[in-house]
Amino acid sequence: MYDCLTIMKLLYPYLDGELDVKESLRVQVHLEECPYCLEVFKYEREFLKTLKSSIPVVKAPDDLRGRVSAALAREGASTRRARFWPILKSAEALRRVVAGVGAVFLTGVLAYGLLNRSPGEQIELAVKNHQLPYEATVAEPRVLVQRLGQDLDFPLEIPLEETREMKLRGGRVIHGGQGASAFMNWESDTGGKVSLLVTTPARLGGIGGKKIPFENLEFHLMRYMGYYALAWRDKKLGYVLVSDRKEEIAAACLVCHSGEDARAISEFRRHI
Amino acid sequence: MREKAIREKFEALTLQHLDALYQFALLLTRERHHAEDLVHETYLRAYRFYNRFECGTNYKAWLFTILRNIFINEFHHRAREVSLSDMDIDIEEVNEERYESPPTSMRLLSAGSMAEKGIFRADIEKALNDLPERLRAVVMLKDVGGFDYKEIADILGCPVGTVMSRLWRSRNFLKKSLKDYRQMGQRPKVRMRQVHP
Repeated sequence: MYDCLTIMKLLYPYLDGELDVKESLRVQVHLEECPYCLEVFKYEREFLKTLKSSIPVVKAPDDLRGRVSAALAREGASTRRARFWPILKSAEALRRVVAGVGAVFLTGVLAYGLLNRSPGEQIELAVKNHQLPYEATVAEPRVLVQRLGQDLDFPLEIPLEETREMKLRGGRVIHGGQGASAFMNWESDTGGKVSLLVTTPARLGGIGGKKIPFENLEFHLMRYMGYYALAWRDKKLGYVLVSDRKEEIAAACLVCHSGEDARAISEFRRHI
Repeated sequence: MREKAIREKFEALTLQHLDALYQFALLLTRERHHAEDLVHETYLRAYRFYNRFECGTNYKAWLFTILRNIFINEFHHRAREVSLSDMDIDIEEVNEERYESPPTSMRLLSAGSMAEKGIFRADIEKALNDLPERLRAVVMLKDVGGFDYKEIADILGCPVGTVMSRLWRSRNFLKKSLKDYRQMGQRPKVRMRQVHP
């Protein structure tokens, strides 16, 4: 039998309909036998009922619904165009996300994009997505890789690990002109932002930038739109690592290469 | 056009929750324009994910979760400062707060005049505003949003036990506030037997 103290703790879950049948019955039995708890129960039931009907309900501004609808229509349209105009889609995404100053920034970006030679579609995609806010979806590396893998047409075989220095914020699948890529971002322990784009070696395409041979791989380091991008490929995958700060590029390698490779990473850092 | 059909289906499923989302956004941001932006961004983000990730059938909770995620990422860059889910309070701690009985004025409310009801509504509004944000969020999600404990836990990113203890504390707080405002001299007709040791 439940004592009054337990009933008190269960009263709100009971009134909120959260108890299962067995527990509900136990509460009811007690209430039948205990006039004190029954009084409390009646008061509380009345209280919750009145509370619910008295809380002011705020309505959204009249035009908000229309604005949201219009924005969704634009979003749909730009997704269609994106198959042919990846730059336009990224620009569209930027405009929505970065208010105010972003409008000026956007014009600069478009002008920059038109006037400057693109470093490669995947590099561009990686840098542009790097600028979007963090996706706080999944913070567990293995779960994220598994989820993203389901939406990709190539195997996402990367040994993503939990590291002290880098906090996984989330990821998504992004679509460029050539196909899908996995995109993930992290926050470093110094508050910097790091993103990793993973695609097929073929989709990575030709890469420019400063060549850095290291451990049988050829890394390419470049600056694009003020960010640092490191691109390379191995037999199975192509990668683009983006960072706000040059110092963090080498540390960012930790997301796949654990602390055992610390010496290799400091060695690598000296090359950059 | 297929895109239009998808969008219309999405809107049919989600736009009905716009007012509720706006109210929650207002609670979080305390500013109308930010709340509008937050809702706007939530729908865009939801639409983008609509086809890509499975969201089940609980669109309302899904939308609220997206809204909260965006809020934490965009409006609170240092998520450590404001957290809707920190302070993992064990349900046992609930005992340390004194149980507050409901105000007696409420029992008269169902028979009360429109004026009385109006005063009461104003009191509730004031009491809600006096609630700390973390506690107000659970009351809004439960008593306005109609979410169950598990859904609230998912939206706020905290354990169900935390939701329960916060609901208990917030309702307790509301009862006390309402009594303080009205300063009713009446004592409850039935004395609560001492249940705490």
